[in-house]
Amino acid sequence: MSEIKTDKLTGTSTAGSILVTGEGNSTTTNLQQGLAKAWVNFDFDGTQAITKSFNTASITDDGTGASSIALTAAMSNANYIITCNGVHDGSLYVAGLCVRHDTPPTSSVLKLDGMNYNQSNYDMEMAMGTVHGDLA
Amino acid sequence: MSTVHCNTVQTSSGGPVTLTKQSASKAWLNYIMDTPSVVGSFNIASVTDEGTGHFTQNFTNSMSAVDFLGCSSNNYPDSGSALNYSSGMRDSTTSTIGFKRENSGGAGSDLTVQGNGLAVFGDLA
Repeated sequence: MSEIKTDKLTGTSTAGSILVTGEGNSTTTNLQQGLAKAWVNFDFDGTQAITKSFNTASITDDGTGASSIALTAAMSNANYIITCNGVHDGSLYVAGLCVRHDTPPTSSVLKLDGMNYNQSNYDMEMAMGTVHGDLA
Repeated sequence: MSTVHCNTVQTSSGGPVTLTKQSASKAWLNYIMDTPSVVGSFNIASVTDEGTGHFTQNFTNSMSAVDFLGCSSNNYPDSGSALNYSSGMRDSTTSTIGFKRENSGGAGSDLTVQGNGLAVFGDLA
């Protein structure tokens, strides 16, 4: 098996665009478009803190059930997606991590809300999210 | 630091390369359900609105089998409405994936929501 060892891959025609051949050996897919651009695992209750992350700079406690995650390298716009989930505390039954609507994410900050089954903001035990889209 | 400049990366036999400890998504979609409209996407040819709380995204390049996974975010349904809801995959084929949104506030009814973030992982055809 041949193996290329390098620290960086750059497109020749377009620096930020490299095609990779798919698993079926025919279709190609864009490498940069498919990679996660950020992910974060963080504590929501008590003092909010990032447990483990990629491309995140800081976390801000926006109040009960509300958190902002700042990205280190910003996205090109706010059209990216956030897939997110959370773990509820033992005293409650259902909680979900939502993308905030009224003050939506920006190109550099994720706005996330924890919500319980009573449809109110709730500090969840643990939360996590992944970002896909285009970097600036 | 060494840099490789190229347009396409594949194995010497023309297959997919192994990216050390990495797995790329094969599609993603940012979709406004109640308009409806696509905000941003990758490997999505079109989205079919199938009524309240239901839609199907059609891939540009198909998957190899119906064993891929789809994951989604939870957004507020609309401004000022603090309503929690859940989401799940519906019927899927190698070229489509269906999603539905449902009110998880006790009603259990289908719900059309504004923001939907969805990502697909698995093998391309």
